[in-house]
Amino acid sequence: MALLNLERLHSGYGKMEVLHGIDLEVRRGEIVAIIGPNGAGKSTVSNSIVGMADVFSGRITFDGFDITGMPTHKIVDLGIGYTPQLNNVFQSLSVRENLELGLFNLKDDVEGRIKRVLELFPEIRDKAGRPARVLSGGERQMLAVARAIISEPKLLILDEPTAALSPKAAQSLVKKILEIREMGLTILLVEQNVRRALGLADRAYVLVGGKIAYEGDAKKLLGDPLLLERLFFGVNA
Amino acid sequence: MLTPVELVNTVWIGSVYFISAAGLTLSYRVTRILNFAYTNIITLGAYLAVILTLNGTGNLLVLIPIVFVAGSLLAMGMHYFVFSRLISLKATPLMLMASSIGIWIFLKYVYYGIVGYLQRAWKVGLYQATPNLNLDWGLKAYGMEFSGAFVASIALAAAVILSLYLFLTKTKMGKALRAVADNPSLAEVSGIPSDRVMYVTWFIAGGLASLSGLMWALFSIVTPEVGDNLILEIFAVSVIGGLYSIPLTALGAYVISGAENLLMPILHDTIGLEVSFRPFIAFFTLLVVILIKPPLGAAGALPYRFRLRRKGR
Amino acid sequence: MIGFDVTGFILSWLVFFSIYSILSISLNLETGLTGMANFGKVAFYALGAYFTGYVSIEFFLRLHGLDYPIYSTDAIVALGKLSVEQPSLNLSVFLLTLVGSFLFAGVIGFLIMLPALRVGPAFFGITVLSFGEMLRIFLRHYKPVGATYGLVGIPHPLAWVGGTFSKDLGFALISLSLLAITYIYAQRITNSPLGRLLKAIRDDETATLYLGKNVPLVKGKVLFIGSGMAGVAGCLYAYYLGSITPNAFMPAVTFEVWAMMLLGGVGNNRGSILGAAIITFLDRSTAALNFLFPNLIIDPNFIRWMLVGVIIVVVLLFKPEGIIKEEYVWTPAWRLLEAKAEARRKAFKELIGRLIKRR
Repeated sequence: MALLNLERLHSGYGKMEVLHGIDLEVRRGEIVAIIGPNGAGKSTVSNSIVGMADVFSGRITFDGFDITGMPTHKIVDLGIGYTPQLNNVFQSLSVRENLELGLFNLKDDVEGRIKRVLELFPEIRDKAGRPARVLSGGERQMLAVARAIISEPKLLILDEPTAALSPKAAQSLVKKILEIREMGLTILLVEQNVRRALGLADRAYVLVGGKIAYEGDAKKLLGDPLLLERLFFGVNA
Repeated sequence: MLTPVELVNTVWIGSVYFISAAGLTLSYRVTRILNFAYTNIITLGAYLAVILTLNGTGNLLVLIPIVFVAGSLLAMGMHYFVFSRLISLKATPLMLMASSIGIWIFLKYVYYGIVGYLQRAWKVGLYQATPNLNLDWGLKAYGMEFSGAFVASIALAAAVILSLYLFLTKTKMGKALRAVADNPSLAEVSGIPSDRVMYVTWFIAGGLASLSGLMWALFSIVTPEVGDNLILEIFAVSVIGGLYSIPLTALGAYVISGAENLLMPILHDTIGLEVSFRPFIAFFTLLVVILIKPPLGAAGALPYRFRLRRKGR
Repeated sequence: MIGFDVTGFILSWLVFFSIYSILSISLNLETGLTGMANFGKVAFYALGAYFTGYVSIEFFLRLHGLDYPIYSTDAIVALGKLSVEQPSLNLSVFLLTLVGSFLFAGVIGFLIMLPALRVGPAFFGITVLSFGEMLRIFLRHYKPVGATYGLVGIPHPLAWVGGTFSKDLGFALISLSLLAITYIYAQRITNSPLGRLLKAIRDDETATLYLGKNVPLVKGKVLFIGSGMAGVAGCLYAYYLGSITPNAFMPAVTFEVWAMMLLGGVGNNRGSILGAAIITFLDRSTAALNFLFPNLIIDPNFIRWMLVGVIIVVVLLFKPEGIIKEEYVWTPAWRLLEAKAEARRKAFKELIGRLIKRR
C-alpha cells in the first residue's frame, strides 16, 4: 500500500479552487517529484497535505490514516516532515533550539537525535549556538531540512528546496537529499528546476493548471525533451 | 528637591510597569492580538488583594498564587470565549482589537457594578481601598528604612522575571512560545500545537498582569479604574521595548517611571508644571518613540519607515 | 408613568440620534472605509464641544463688555440674560462656532496624521486613544476652560424662542438637517473615486502605495473630514446641553460610537445611522429608566456601558458584517458606463429582435 494517497483532491484557499481533482500516490522508499510551470498549484499540493490549504472535496490518506481536514500539528505528528519554501527557520532562535522544536512531540533520546542530525549536516554543527538569522542561505536551507527530518518522519516534503540557492549550495543540498534517502525516508519533492528534480526523482508528476498532465517514470521524462516541452507549453507536437 | 522617597518610588513603580508590560509584550508577540482588556486583569489582581484581605490581615504568600491564577483564568477565558472564535472566523487584527475593547468596556462596568454592590452590602469603602496585608519584611540598609511592601514588591518582581526568563529559554514550552512568536505557520508545521501555546501564553500574561495589579495595591490605593489609569504607561513601556525585547521593556519601564517620579518634581519646581499633568510624560514618550522608531511587527510594518528624504532629489 | 414626557423623550432622542449618527458616519469614514482604527473619536468630539462652548461664551461676554471669569456665577447669570435678547447674535455665533469647530477639530485631526503615517493600525489606535485621554486630563486641569466644572451657560442658539417645546423642536430640526448634510456628503465621498481609493488603502496599504497614491496625504484628508464632522457633533452637543464637563468625554463614548458602526455594518453609511438609532434609543431608554426607577441595584449607566461592550463582542462574533452589508462603490463614471452598457445591450437586443423578425 502506498504511503501517501491523494484521491480526487479539490483544494485551494478561501473560495478559490487551485487544484481540480488530483490523484497522486507516493510509495514507500521512493522520491517523487512534482514539477510544473509557475502557478500550476505545486505548492498547494504540499500545503493541502499538511493541512494549510482548504480541502473542498476528495481524500488524503497517509500511512493508513485519513488526514483530510486534520489540524496541521496532528498531521505532522503522524510522521510527516515538511520544509516550506520561504521562512523555513525560526530566525530569532538558535540553531540548536530550531532543532529541538522539530522534536516538540518526542521525549526520548533528544540529545542523541540532535547529535546524529548535526553529524549529517556538519555545515551547521559549528553554529549550533548562534541565532538562525545569521546563517547563509544554503545553511538556512540545511537547517530547515534538518529540522524537518530530526523527528525521523516517514515522509519528507520539500517545497522548492533549491529555489534561492547558489548552484554550489544547491549541489550540496542535492547530495544531502540523496543521503537522506539512503536513511530510508520517502521524499516528496516539489520543484521548479525540472532537470534537477527529475535527476533526483524515481517518479514524477507534471502539474499544469491544477491538474495532473503526466504521471510516470522520472528518467523517461528527463530523456524526452519533446514530451516535456509539450507538457509545459501546451505545444501539440 | 529629590528625596530618597522618589528614588524608591521610581524603582517600585518601574517594577509594576515592567511586570505588566512584559506580559503585554509576550501576549502580543505570540498571539498578535493587542488586548486592551489587559487592563481589566490588572484591576482584577488589585481588587482581589483588597477583597480577600477585608476580614483580618492576609498573608502575601497565600495571596500571590490566588491572584496569579485568577488573572490567568480571566485571560484564558477571554481567549476561549472571544479571541479563539474570532481567529477561526479569520477576523482582521483590527476586528480583534475592537473585540478586546468591547471586553474592556464591558468588564470595567461589571467591576463598577460589583464593587458598588459589595460596598453597599458589606458597608465598607471599596471605591478607594488598600489591601490589609501582614508585611514584616522591612529592611534597614544604607541608613534608610525600606517598608515591607517595597521589599515584597521588588522581591516578587525579581522572582517573576527570573522565572519568566528561565521558562522562555530553558523549557520546551517556552521555546515553543518563542517559535510561535517568530513564525506561526512554521511552528504549526513543526508539530507545535499553536492553540495550546496560545492558552499557555494567556495563562502567563494574565498571571503577570494580575500580579502587577497586586504590586500596585501594595503601593497605592485601588479603584475600579486602576488598570485603565496604568494603560498609557504600560503601552508606552511596551512600545519602547518595541513590543519585542524583554530587556528593552525593562529599560523602558524604569525610564518612564524615573521620568514620572524624578523629572516631574523638578519640572514642578522649576517651571511650575502641575503634578496632575503627570500622564503627559508617558504620552509624549510614546509619541516620540513612535515617531522616531516605530515598533516592528504586523502592527507597525509599513514601508514609510525606510523612506529618507534626501536633498537634491 | 406620571411625569414622563414622551414628546420630550422623542425630541431629545432625535437630537442625540443626530449627534451620534454624525459621529458614527465620521468613524465609518475613517475606520470602515480607510481602515484607520480611530479609538480617539471622543477627542475630536470634545474639541468641537469645547471650542463651541468657549468661543460662544467669550463672544457673548466680551461683546457686551463684561469681563467675568467664564465659569463664575455672575457670568452664568449674565449669559442667561443676554442670550434671549438678540436672535441675530445667537444665530451668527451658532454659525461661526459650527464652522469653527469643524475647522478646529479637523486641523488637529490632520496633525494627528503625523504618527499615523509611520505606524500601523494598532499603534495608531493606541496613539489616538491616549491622545483623547490626555485631552480629557488637560481639560480637567486647565483653569481657563473651567477645569473640572467645565463650561456652564453656553447660550442656546434658539434661546430667544419662547417655549421649551418649540425651542427643542427647532434644535432637533437643525440637528437633523446637519445629519442630512453629513450623510449626503459622506455618501458622495464613498461613491467617488476617492472612496474607492480609501477602500484600497484599507484592504492593502502597501499595494496602494506602490500604485503611486500618496497614502499619507489621503489618510490626512480623511482624518480632517472625519474629525471635523466629530467637531460638528461636539458643537451640537455643547449647545443642546448648555454645559459641558471633561467627564462627558470618557473613552467609553468612542466605543459607543464603535458599537454603532459595527452593529449597523462596517463600511456603510446607512448602517452607521441605523446603528446610531438603535443604540441612542437604548441609551435614552436607560436614562428614562433612571428617571422612572431611581433606586435600582446597579446604576443604569453601568448597564448601558456594559451593553455597549456586549454589542461590540456579539456583533463581531455572530454578525461581523453588521445589519446592512457593505455595498460596492458606485462612482459617477461607473454609473455612466453602466448606463452606456445598458443602452448598448438594449440596442443589441433590438437588433437581434429585428433580425429574427426579418426571417
